[in-house]
Amino acid sequence: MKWLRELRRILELVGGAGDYARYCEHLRSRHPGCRLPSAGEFYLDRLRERYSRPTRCC
Amino acid sequence: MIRIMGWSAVGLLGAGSFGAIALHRQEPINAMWLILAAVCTYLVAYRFYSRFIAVKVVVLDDRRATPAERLEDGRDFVPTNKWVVMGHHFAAIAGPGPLVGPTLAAQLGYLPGTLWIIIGAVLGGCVQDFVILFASMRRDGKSLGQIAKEEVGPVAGFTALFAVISILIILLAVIALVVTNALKASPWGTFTLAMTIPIAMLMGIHLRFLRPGRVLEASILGFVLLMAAVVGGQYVARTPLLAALFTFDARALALMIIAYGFAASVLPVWLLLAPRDYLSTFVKLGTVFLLALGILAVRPSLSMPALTRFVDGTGPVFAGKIFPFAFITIACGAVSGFHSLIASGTTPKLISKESQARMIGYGSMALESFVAIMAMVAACVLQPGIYFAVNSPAGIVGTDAAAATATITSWGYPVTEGEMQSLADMVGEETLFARTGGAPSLAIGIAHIFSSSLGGERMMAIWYHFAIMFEALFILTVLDAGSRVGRFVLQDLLGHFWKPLGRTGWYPGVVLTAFLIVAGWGYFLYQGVTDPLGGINSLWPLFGIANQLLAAVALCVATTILIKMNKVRYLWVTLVPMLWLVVVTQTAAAQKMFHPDPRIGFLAEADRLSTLLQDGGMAPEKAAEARRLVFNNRLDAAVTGLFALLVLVIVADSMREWLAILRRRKVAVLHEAEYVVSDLEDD
Repeated sequence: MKWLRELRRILELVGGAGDYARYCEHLRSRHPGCRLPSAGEFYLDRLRERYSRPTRCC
Repeated sequence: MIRIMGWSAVGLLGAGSFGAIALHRQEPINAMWLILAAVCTYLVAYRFYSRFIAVKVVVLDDRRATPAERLEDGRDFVPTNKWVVMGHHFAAIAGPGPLVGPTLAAQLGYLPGTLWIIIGAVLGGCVQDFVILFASMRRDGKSLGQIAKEEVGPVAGFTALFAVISILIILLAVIALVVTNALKASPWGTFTLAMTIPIAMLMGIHLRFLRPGRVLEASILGFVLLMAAVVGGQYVARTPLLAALFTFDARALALMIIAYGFAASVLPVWLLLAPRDYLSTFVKLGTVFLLALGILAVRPSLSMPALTRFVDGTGPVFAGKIFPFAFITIACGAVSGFHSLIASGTTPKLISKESQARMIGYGSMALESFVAIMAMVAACVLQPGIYFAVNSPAGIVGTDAAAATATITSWGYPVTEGEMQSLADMVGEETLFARTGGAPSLAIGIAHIFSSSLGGERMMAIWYHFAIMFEALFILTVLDAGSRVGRFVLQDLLGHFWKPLGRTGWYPGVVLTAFLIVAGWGYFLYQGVTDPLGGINSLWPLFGIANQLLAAVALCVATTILIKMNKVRYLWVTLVPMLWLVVVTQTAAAQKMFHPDPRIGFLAEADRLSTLLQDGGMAPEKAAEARRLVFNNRLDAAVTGLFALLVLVIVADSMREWLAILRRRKVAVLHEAEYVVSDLEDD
């Protein structure tokens, strides 16, 4: 099942959804004490970034 | 030694395939020769040419930290595995363009389009994508507009921004027209596409509230529902009461798509746009992969000749000779300026080592070019008579089936009413005559290839509607995303004149700018559906010119950067494709404006119609339509002229900068981000 989870992560990254676990990891190691966003907040933040510039081509 | 032998074999195989293509003139050729010639060319070009660019021209440096490493913040800047970045980049650049363009260009025969797709990609498109990706990566992921402003000057920067909006409007209009034409009088297709809206919303709610960010899971759920909608569409089409609910003519569909586009661009992204984007991304990747497998399994013969009689410029799908029109009809798949916007966006912020830009930039475009080759194959497996019956507008071949088949047969491409009807029955459509825009004939080709390997003729209808849904799905995604981006760019631009308009949180500003963008493409869309020649005729070349002009702008910026990097010796790498695109687009623009043949020149058509109007004797409603057409043709001519002018401004502004640097009147200042030594291990 580990490879299945890895495949899911890869496809989510290819789709452009960002990597929530990695972001939390980053915040914990570089900015300890900083409040971690919820998965929902992170998801919306990624969408805001994604659709403010051309991300889909003809 | 083994390596040299291997590459020699690839080279020989490629050369042999081109030889086979050259020798097959009067008899049908197997699609495998085209595929082999293309793949071998991509491999050799990737191995040698992209390496030359990476090592000698832009000099990628793995000891230099990329923005993903220097600015790592866990969300925008994240060093990511190169295969993931490549997948992400490919998914972003591959859209409906490389499928539709080759289908339309097939009217000239398979040869001109195929050669342009292969050569244009390895020497032009891949180079553009790679160099712009490199430039943006060295500048912390800045956009093309910002790079143009910093490296060339404010005039070029502002012009580039303005060009992007105008190009976006034409692009959105023409792809909306493709969907409209694919769905008109098709209850099955319309039902399926209508269902994508509640399906996407369901996914959106799932992703927002139930399982945030689990996009694969939501997409699988969406895909199952989508397939149910494709299959259920057959039931709708066969039930007269339901069929009537989903049967619309082109005008009604166009108005609905415009209303939808406006709603989608002001709704929150999580509700509709984002979930459908995920769904269409995965469906697209899956279908492209399946199509490649299908072609390999079936190895179909091409029925279309290498060159048709329409190389003389009298074609029914679009008017004009191979030069320049084959080169603007196929933009995506060979060189697509739009890619430069993607390559200077999210992708450069994810690259962990500079050398990976080669695979991600050059490699992804080679892959997209291969998608275009597959589209060409899918279009050319159809009997030419059928291809022309599907793709010729009623304004040229006549509205009734007998007249259309007689005209097309008289061109030397025999087709009968019976054949067309049985094909229409087989794919579950009322009629397949005059279904312009490329999507229906591509769907027939794809259905033909898929049903030959899976399911046989009984599955033809399902595959056809799957293919229509697949194209319509991501066209609508581009429409939503494009309208939204257009809105942001316009807000940015208008914000210079009146501050509140620039604020993305100010609701009246949002609605106003969204309205302006949607009204812009909506106008051209409506113009297209009411055009007696089907609209694709005039709008697709306009789109091609626009897209190639953006490519010329991107290559112009790239050339400026090479000069500043002191690489004058290798300037031809970007300068030659840039000059070629400037020549092609300026010629096409001039012909679209001033050609004496009313089928090619907008102004000639306007003059022809106004002469008819002056002669009098037209019925009042005919006269009103003619007056509108006169106005629209003049408008199209003006838009073409504007595009041509914008590019000349950017080229002139850049050349001024080049000369100043080359004559040492000005010190070349490169606006790259600071050099920091990389600590990352290679992956």
